Formats: sequence, structure tokens, C-alpha cells
Amino acid sequence: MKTFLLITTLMAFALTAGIAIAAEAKEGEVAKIEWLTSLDQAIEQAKAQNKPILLDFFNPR
Amino acid sequence: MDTVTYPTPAVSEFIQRNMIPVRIVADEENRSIFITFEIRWTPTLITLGKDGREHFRTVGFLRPEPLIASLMLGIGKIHFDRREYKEAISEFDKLVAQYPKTAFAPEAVYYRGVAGSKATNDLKPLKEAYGKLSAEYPTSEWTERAYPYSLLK
Repeated sequence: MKTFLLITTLMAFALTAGIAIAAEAKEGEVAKIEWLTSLDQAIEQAKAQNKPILLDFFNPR
Repeated sequence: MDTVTYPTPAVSEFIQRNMIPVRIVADEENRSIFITFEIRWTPTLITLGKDGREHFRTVGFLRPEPLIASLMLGIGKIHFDRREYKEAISEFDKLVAQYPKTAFAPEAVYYRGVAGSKATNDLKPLKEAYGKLSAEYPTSEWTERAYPYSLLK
């Protein structure tokens, strides 16, 4: 019975710790830049969120 | 930019938190917007107000710290152009405090002086700007541009 309780406790601890680590990873996640591809859409969002626009002209080649 | 600068957490977080990012790729479909903004070389990064009006641009690769500083300068210039001098001063001061070694810092010191002068109707902030520029950025073109302020009484 004692062994069963110990194993159950250890499993619960491992599960909680796993959840905690997963949550931490999510909190620590770096915000990826979510680029829009339309200036009109950017202006619409900029007005709604009261933010300036970063317009990046680039050539991937 | 995609290999070094944009993946840097401080950069992506700054952009996501403070701006609406939009990317226009150089292809036939986007020809007209390249012409509208007179883009001759890439990367060209432009800071626009929420109305789509241009306030600042840079051409060429920037490392993470200079990129953030350039964006802060652009945001400061939006406030400056709108005569929101208090907000402009706050943005220029933040840039100089956080990224004093970037090439954009002397320009921020210069515009901080101008915004301060316009906000207070006093010439003192211009003289102070020249004092800081000549002491900390003696070889900068912005120190040269501010030289006449040293002659103010």
C-alpha cells in the first residue's frame, strides 16, 4: 500500500512538474513577427490598434 | 535580416509590441507599390504613421540593436511631425538611453533638442543638444548640423 502511495505521489509530482515546465516554455516563447503582406490591411490594423507601421521592402533572392 | 536580425527575441518582441509589420516582396505583383515608395534598393525599411504616411526610412542591412534604435527614431519622428513634442522627447530619450552606441543615437539627440525647444519655446534645449553631441559624438554629422546652436546666447 505504501509503495502504491509513493508511486502515485511520484507520478502526480512528475505530471505537475511536466505541466509547469510546459507552461514555462510557453511563457518564455519568443513572439514571432507576424508579417502582413498588404499595406491596406496594415493601415486598417494600425488605425484599430493605434500603432505605427513597419513597411519592409525586401528581395528574398 | 531574416537570418540575424528578425529572429533576435528583442527585435521580434519590439516589432510585435509596438508596430504593425508588413512585408512587400520584390515581384511583378508589387511593382506599383515599389514605384509609389520609390524603392531603388532592398532592404528598405520605412516607418509609417497609422495613416500610411512616411516619416523615416533606412536602406541596407541593420543588426538587431541598430534596427530597434532606427524604429524608435522613426516612432519619435512620427510624434515630432505631429507636433506631439512630449511623446517625441520621451521616445528620443529612450533611444539614447538604451542604444547610445548606435548610429541613430546622435540624430535622436539632435531631434530631442529641437522637440524640447519647440515644446518650451526656449533655445536652451538646442544648446544642451549641441553640448551632448560635441561631448559624446564629436565626429557625428549631427554634431556639425547642431554647431550653430553653440553660438546661441
